[in-house]
Amino acid sequence: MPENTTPTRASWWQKLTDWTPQLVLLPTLFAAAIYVVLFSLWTLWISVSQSTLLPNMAYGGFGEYAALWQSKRWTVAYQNLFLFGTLYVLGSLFVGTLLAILIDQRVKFEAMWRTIFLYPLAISFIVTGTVWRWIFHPQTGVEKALNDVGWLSAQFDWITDRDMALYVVVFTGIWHASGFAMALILAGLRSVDGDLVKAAQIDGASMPRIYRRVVLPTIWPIFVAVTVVLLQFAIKTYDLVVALTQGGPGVATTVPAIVVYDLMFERGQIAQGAAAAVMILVGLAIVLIPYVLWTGWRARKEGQNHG
Amino acid sequence: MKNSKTHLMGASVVAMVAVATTAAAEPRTNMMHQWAQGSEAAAIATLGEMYEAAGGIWEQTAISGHTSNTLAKLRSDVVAGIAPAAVQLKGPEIAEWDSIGATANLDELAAAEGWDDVVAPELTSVMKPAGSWVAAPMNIHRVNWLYSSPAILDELGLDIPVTWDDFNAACDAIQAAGYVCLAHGAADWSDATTFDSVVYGMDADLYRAAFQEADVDAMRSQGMIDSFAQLRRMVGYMDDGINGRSWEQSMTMTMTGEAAFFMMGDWTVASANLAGFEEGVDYNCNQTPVNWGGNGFILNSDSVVFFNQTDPDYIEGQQLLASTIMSPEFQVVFNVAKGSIPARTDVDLSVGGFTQCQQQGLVDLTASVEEGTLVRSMAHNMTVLQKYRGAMMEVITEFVADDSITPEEAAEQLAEAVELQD
Repeated sequence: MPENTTPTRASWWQKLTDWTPQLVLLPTLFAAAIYVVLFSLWTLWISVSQSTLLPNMAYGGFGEYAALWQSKRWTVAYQNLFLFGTLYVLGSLFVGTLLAILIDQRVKFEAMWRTIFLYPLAISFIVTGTVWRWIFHPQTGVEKALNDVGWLSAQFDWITDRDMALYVVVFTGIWHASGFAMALILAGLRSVDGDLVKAAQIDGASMPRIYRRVVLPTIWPIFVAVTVVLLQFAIKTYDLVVALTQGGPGVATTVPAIVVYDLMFERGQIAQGAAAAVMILVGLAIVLIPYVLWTGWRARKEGQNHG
Repeated sequence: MKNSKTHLMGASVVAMVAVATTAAAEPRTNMMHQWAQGSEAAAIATLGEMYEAAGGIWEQTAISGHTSNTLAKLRSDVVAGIAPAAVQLKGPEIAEWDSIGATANLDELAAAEGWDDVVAPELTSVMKPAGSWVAAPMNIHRVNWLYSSPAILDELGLDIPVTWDDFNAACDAIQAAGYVCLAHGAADWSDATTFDSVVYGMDADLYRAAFQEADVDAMRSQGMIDSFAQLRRMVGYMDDGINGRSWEQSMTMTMTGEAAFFMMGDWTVASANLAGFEEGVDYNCNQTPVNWGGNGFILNSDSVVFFNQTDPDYIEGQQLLASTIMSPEFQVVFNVAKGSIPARTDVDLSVGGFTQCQQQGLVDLTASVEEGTLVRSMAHNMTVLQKYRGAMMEVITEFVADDSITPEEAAEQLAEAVELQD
């Protein structure tokens, strides 16, 4: 090898190939930095500014946060976010897993079932909300149908009941998202090595037990991915609730995104709206920081094992 | 008629003077509004035609959907320094934009055309937040209409209730006969619309103090507690399907004889007639009950606000647009379509296609002005700032939805919600 000329060329080439991925990702990183970090900081500043109808950057203190947390509508909305988020994600995962396992049994017309269960995802939240409002509403939906066929004492009025209305939203959300969870989990199930299942069968394990102990644990990254996607759906939920219950009865099903929009665009309280938006970010952090710490801890542990 | 003639002359004189003084200026405008569909869009198109006929160049920016979309666009335009020449805005928002110095002054035109003499008194204070005209009203909506089903009332031999006690007695009879008494679709604005009528009907002075001046002592008063008690009673006269029902659906319940009463503003008249229901046959319209006797009128109004411009063409165009909006011809065309009545009290409603309800509205408005009972609607954003209104509507809609809240608690919550906004 002619050692005196090629090293510079090769190392230059080497450097370029090393840097190409980073260079390609740079615009994305840059955009993400602006859109996420910069705008988050900007929102944070607006929330402590004197903004009302128009943005006003003069410092105004944390009064808007205090006012926000004294408002019943906001505390209800924030509780709803956690309750709805938890039930929606867990429910969608549960139903999605169940459907995926059932379809995994090599059922007939598999493609048809898959399409049927995936179909809700293709429907917008507005349409979903409107149709389910008709179904749940005592005078147009299930209750009316039951009454019309002669069961006059039938009652199904969750949507008008302030204690049950949030579960109507949860149910509709699960209906909408479980097909999505099913599709991803099914793909995961199909990727599991058949030998694993056979080995477990030889050991005499029942099918439910094989799924619970062998198959599902091997595809846990898929569950994490689905959870993250569903969580961000839950946090930005707006149109589903607006179409389904308009946040009612009263304020029983209000979610934070509705409050933020109202404060900022309807009531001319930009600072308080920004404070509410920051609180949503805090809510997200409460969920995500433990997750990030956990993955970090796990990665370190695995690293030690390998070392 | 004489009035409208002099007005027309006034308008053309102003237009001529304007053309003469700034020879180069060519009046043009760009109006931002939220009436993108249906009869309202058609009414605005008429405004454009009239504007062009008067020699202006017409452009419009229609932003469909909720008012907040218009506000968001307006805000970004003002921040960017390209404020639109004319924007459809209401009530206290006019004062808010006026207080940051963004609005144009129309005093000269108003003086030349004598707006102060023809616009309803409660309305002038909204159009002149700091003493100068900055906006032109397009109409007057009446919020306190009680629509009733002649079929049910005739069958049961009931009269139109005049006081709230009458109303309660009628409802007891109607419910006993197996009908829904009060058709309603729950939403913060519609619950507040009903409550506007209740508080006003109980005590007009209380209404002014609590809903026009946001006086928290008035909100804690016995009168307010009694009003909430009446509202609670009325929730009992509604059926169990009020959540998730639109106001049009509620309207239809009364028009088809399924429910006896419906309380809503006069846009109902336009919708009902459009849907083929007939006044006097399918429904009657009367003022909502008042305990103090006499004529009552809760007013709501759409208006156009003019923002400061630097281009002389647009400044000129604002004068022409304001003059066109205030012309009796436009006020007739626009309001026949919208179910409301002209913002000018000197227009003859017996011609041009106004319905009986609309004509009655003007009669009642005039009477109400004379009796000093005219008020502006809180529910329809004609009185206090949006932050107070929003806070009050939250309490009212929660009260309607939640039986466990007592009238005393509600009155206290109302005051606290408003105090929290300061």
